[in-house]
Amino acid sequence: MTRVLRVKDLEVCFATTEGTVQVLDGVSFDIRKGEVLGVVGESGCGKSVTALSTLGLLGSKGKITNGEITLYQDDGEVELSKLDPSGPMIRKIRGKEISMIFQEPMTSFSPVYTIGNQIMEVIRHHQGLSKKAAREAAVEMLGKVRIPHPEQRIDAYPHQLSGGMRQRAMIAMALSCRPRILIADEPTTALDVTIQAQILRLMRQLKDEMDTSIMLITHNLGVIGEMADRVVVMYMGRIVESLPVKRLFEESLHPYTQALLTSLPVLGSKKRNERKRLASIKGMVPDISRVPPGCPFHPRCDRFMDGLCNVHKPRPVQISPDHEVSCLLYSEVAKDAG
Amino acid sequence: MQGRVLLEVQGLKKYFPITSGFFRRTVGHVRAVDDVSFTIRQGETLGLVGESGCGKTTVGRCILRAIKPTAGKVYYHADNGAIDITALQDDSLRAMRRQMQLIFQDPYSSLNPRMTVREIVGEPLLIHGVKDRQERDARVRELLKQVGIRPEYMNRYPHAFSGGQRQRIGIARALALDPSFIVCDETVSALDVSIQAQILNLLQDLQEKLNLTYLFIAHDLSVVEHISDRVAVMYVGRIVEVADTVELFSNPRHPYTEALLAAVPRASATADKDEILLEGEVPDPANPPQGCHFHPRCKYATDICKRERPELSEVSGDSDHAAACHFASQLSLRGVS
Amino acid sequence: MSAETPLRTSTAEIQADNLDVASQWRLMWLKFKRHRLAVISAVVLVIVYSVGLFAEFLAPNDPHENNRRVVHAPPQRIRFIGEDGFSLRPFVYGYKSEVDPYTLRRSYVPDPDQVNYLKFFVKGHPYKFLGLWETDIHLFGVEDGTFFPLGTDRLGRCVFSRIVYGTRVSTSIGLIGVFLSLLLGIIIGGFSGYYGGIVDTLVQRLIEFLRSVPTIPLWMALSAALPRNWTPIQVYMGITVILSFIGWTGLARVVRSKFLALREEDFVMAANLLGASRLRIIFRHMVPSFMSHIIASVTLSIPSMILGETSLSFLGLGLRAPVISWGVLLQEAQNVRTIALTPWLLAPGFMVIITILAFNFVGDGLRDAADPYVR
Repeated sequence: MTRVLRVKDLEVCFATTEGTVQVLDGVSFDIRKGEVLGVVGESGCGKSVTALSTLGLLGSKGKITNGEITLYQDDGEVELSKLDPSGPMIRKIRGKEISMIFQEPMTSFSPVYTIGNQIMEVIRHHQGLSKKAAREAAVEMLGKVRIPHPEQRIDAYPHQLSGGMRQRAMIAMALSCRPRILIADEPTTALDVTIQAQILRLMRQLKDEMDTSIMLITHNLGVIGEMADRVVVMYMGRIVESLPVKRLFEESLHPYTQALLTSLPVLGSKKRNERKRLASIKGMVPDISRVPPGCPFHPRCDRFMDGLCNVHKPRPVQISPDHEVSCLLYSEVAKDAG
Repeated sequence: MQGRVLLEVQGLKKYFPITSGFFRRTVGHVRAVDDVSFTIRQGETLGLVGESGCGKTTVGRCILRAIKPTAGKVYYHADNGAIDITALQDDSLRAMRRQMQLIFQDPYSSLNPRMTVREIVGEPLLIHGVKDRQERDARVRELLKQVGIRPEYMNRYPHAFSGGQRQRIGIARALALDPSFIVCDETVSALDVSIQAQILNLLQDLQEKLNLTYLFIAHDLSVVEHISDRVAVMYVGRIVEVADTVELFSNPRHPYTEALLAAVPRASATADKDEILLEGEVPDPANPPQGCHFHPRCKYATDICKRERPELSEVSGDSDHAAACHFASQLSLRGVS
Repeated sequence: MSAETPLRTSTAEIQADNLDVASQWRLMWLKFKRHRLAVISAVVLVIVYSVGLFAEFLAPNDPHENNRRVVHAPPQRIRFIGEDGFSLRPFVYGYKSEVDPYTLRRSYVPDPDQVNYLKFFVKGHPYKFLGLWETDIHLFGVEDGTFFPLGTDRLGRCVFSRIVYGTRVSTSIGLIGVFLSLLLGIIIGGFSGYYGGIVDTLVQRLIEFLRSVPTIPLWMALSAALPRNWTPIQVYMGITVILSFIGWTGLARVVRSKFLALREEDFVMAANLLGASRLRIIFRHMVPSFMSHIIASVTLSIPSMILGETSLSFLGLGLRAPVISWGVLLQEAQNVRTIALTPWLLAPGFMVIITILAFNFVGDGLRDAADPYVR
């Protein structure tokens, strides 16, 4: 399959009052045409920063200090990390080539314009359609995201819609220019479970219909399991493991991935009325300004090897064509074998 | 798990007035909780699930008398007879508060940022008459140890702790007066996955050690399944189904429960899941549909569902399983397992 | 085990450790300190209030003493270089009066023949230091001749000394007025916010009514009602009461909104569920939570008090001579002629501006620091 986006050795720093903090450290992954790439991790692991850096939306405090973000278009490649974050080049890409939806659509819509106005603005900006044609396109998009009576709802203000409907409108806006890549940052976290199911189903259908690739950022492994084709697991600004979702639940190798999976109660797993304990990860995620040396997970890891894990930074080890792990357990194995 | 009944809720109602205009005239009511009855047995965990706005939080707050219910009774069965919590006045209510506590959802707003951990956890002791500072401190130390916070940290302020640690401090405060009944209101839903597991384990350990009874309010069905002995499902202010956990999850008898279970995203989702997925949205509790509140979204609904409200009644053949559906015994619904 | 309890080595970590046990006020101070302008303004305010406190000691001349011979004299420049060259000790030239041969207007020019050296701790007019003991030592001045650093007014009184004395009245009226407003604001706003319902509605409507009344005419009406035969002290107290009559509304709103917001906080509900009494909830949980916000609002409302006094006195409705305040002093500068011929009479205006600005900056800084727990 063809690549649509490649992120390579991405490093991002943020300026804080206490000094510079590195929030991404050597993040590399590909997104292929028409696939859903899941990005999981706990809060503060850098999954949202990864998304924002592809769009040049890090703000004045964040800075890409190393690495490349390459967008593959039909007629060549664009190096996104080199573009001026407020320049015309990246603005042409945002919304047209790559668009994004957020957790709370209320804050991403302006409350003083109707949703139709805002969707039409995107369409007109990127496609140069007339007002009338843009309105028709917006109605069509709202219909596509299964908003009932789109020709009336197009004139609704964001606060007049329910949370689920707002998220649908947000998706309509994001997909209105048929972007190559849709970045969805916790798109269903704020929604109730039945509404979440509707939105996820909608995203699946539209993805197939429009052949869009999706980068799905979430902390919910169930959503990943249901939606994603491949998954990258992040911890403290690094990718610890990347593998196809089919193998995630059975064949993951990194101790963090495994621990994450076992610490999660699984629906329908209770067979008798009994009380079981969950396997939990000890301790907590350290402050990002105090990343432990070596493998950042080593203070919480059950399989910690003194003198190795706290000294050497693990490098990604290829286990099989689609499966990479950054853990010294496997690099030792790899070394011995080689 | 056939202990004696500790808490009995009968016909609980809470209507919030909708006011408008200069003189705040009441123009209607939000029926947040509309005729809810259930029991909780000593030492068990009753899970209360439902989508946002279904009234589950209000139920918890009414039981604790954080707000006064509009109607209904809540009996607490103490060793020396039943006490109606809804009828208690100042002093007896204050005494009752020793027995019942709440653990909050948001670990940030539930602790006063201007008090040290020592003051926060010691406050219930001070209020209930432990005037001796050393005695209080000793108890605070013991409580902190119990929830996994190092007692040396008791002079710190909440801002020094992470979300999970704050939640532990909130638990320590709730335990200070040796309560027998605790309402956990979305206690783990604001926490990261790995911390969530720690807190769930802590709650289970404490339950065993201190013989606690929990009302566990949550929207996350897998968490509820994991921790609860029995589960009640709420929809628009009413309980639609209540049963033993395994029974409810494997053999639901209310179409809403079936749809709720099917909606949970899972890796092993079956292909026909889409059939069960609900259309539409939760109705406005100020103006719910006639008859069964669920009928507009229910694919099994018939005329009777639009007219008559189904009572929560036992499902044939199981005294512990009740559902509020006219067709509870006829339908064959799909669970998860 | 050493892996679990790492030694805190770097200073940043030790600092973080201290912050863990830092109270609200310490965190606020750390945050306030980062606001440069506010810190500088705070220093300015300390100086201004010290001037008010030690007015007699700092003023070189008696503010009530008339000097018929030097009426409307311009400021005397402090010099280091004279006709004899450089002098380490600063000095001023005395006045020489000249009469314009055409307009016959009398004016004063520096007279290089009269050299009066400035000295520290010189003897001058007698006063009671802080009202405690009798002395006649002043911080600086001249032993012979005159020293009017900001010139004189129409009666030949030292403008500088009058500003120094006026500082006391003008700044203290702000403090006392705000204290009264605060008292009213907390009681009425607290009532409104805590009980809510109809009480709240009525109080809010009352506040809206009071705020819609034009201030100056109301003040004028109220101060016109003050009996003419009141002593200056009584007038002074009367004016503060009038000023705080309007001032409390803003503070009451702040208190009320904080009360309403805090009532919904989880930790307040937690205290309630623990069986805490109403008084305990208010004074242990709610008041400490909004105290810092109140202090910030109070700081921001002092300027309007000072301006209120200044405006009233300027219009001749507030304080009257012989009381000295900035407003009373500015009365002297009511016409265009003053600005053209004796601009030094406008100096009290600059004091007003500096003080008001400083209060606003400090208030800004305090407001930003008031909630150090923002995530």
